[in-house]
Amino acid sequence: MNKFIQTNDIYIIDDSIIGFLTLVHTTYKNKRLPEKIYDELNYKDNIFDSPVYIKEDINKALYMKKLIIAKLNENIFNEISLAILSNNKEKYNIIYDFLYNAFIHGTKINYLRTIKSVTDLQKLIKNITRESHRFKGFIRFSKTSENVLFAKIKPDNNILFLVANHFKNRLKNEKWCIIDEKRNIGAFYYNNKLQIINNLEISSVNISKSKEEETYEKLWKQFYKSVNIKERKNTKCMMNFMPKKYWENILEVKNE
Amino acid sequence: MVSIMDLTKKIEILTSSAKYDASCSSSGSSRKSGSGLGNTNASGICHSFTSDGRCVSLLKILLTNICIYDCKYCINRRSNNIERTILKPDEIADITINFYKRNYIEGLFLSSGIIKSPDYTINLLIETLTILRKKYNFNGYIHAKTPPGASKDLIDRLGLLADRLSINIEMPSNSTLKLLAPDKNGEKIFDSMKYIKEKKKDKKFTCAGQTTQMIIGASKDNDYQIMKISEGLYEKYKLKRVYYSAYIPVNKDNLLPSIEKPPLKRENRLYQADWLIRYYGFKSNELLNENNPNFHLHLDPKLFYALNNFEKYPVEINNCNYETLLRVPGIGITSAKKIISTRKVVKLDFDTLKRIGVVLKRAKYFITCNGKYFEEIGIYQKERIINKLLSYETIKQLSLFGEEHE
Repeated sequence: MNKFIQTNDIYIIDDSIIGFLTLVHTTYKNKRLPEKIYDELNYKDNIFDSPVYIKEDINKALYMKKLIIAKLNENIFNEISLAILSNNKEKYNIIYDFLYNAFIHGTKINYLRTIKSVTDLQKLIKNITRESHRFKGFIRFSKTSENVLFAKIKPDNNILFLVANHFKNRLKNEKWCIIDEKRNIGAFYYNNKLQIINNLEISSVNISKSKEEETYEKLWKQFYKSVNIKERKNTKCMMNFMPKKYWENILEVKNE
Repeated sequence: MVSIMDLTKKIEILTSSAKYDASCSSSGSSRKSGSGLGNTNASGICHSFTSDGRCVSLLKILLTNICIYDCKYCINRRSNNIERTILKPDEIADITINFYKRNYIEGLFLSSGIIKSPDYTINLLIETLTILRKKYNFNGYIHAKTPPGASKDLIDRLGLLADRLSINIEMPSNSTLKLLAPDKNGEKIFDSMKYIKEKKKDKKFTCAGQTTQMIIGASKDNDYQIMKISEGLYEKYKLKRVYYSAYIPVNKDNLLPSIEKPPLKRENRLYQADWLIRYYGFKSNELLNENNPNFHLHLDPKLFYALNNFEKYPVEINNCNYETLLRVPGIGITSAKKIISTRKVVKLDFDTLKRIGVVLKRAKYFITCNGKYFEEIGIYQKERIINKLLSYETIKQLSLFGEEHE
């Protein structure tokens, strides 16, 4: 691969895999290494920078996707797609540096842990998969009067799609929906089909609980209370495993 | 039809009685949902955590706390004057299904006091599991406790319905079992374990294997005796896990020790040692011996081992083998594997070690990287290291219960 020139270029991109790959396409063609990449949400305007905004372009993104899979492999492409779900503000800089090094060193890149962006990317991914695993447990559905299982979440990372896939197998004969209140997106599952809806108007989602709901919620809270052993109390240890930031949507520990 | 009030009360009584069973794991099984409800996750899922940081994965409940036995340490012993109740099989099934659909739980952990006889009891468990599996087509996780002394043909049926079976051996030696659980019979317990191990050749039988539990601190048995038993259980009966439960004095009895607080630290050390035996290639007699039969309360078992075998260190990160890496304090399975795969393509340095998750605060005394120690000090003295580590060891020691998926 021809060497890129170091530059002071600053870019603002759309916060998505398409936005990112569009930027990669631009710099791949002009051989200029960006100094900093922001997404539109976390760029703060200041007088020193003159950032260039790159609008997402599906064709350029698809071109880069094909190129990454051809020159590297599908696994590396999947890692990049996963890392983009991160809430880390530096994620695009990390992923870019990782990808740049991957083009230089080839598929052994994942073992070249002496390069910082390699371990940084692995940390992003670990954080995402860990949070998604946690939410497979922490999500609490309540049954609506229309027999839909309904849940709200506020995860740090954008893990809705990952957890929705889990419930697609687990609750395949049910109707359910999970709403990410932070991002205004929802996963809706009915008639064996899963649909992700963006730009949801949360206030328009009206739910009334089913009659039986009170019974099972009460039984569950009683169970949780009774399964505790007061002689063993260790709140710090508990918080480590179930951070307080998640509590507002966890029935048995939320304040009411 | 029972009222909600009745059910709430029953759950309160039958969960309070079941909670001393430490196990709540939902791992080791990969049941697919098929056309029914639910599936299992091979690495297990924690749905909540109790106030002491134990993972809540399963609806852990007794079918009844009525019991014909009189085990000294047990809250449900016959001679205790407590409120007794029983849940009907279809009540348990209904609660399980409704909790499962709301994602409160991964499945059911059903245990029971011995009502009438072991066979009568196991039949009620079988009936409950049959309703779940057949009527509701439930494919979530089920852990059932085998009543000690139940007939083999009934264990067969239970094992085909459950993902996991367990029988608690409770006491680390036969003599204490005889003393504290006069109605239980050690031989019969091991008999059932052996039977389940043989049956497991059929893949549909207890696909997540069998486990057991020992109560720690109700008898005088030392850590070395306990670890030797666990080692034997893993080797001989192919157990998936041995659980250790710090003794909590729920009953007053002349035969039981009177203690203020449950020995939680000791319990934690035993879990750590148990991991070293199952995953790190340690033997119990490397960790402890007749002269040194108990773990150090302030040093974890691997550090304890490393300091007792100080002449075997330092090890060179860039060329020692995997088994040796696993014996370095501060290096776990994940980081050992990362070290191996990284050094195939590039030499490791301390900065990289830190970034891949090696805890240098502990590891630095026991490793070199490209022939160099982490700090300039050169030769470390054992006594100084112990002092330094003892002050560092006040670090939080997390309970191992929550590490289902790590």
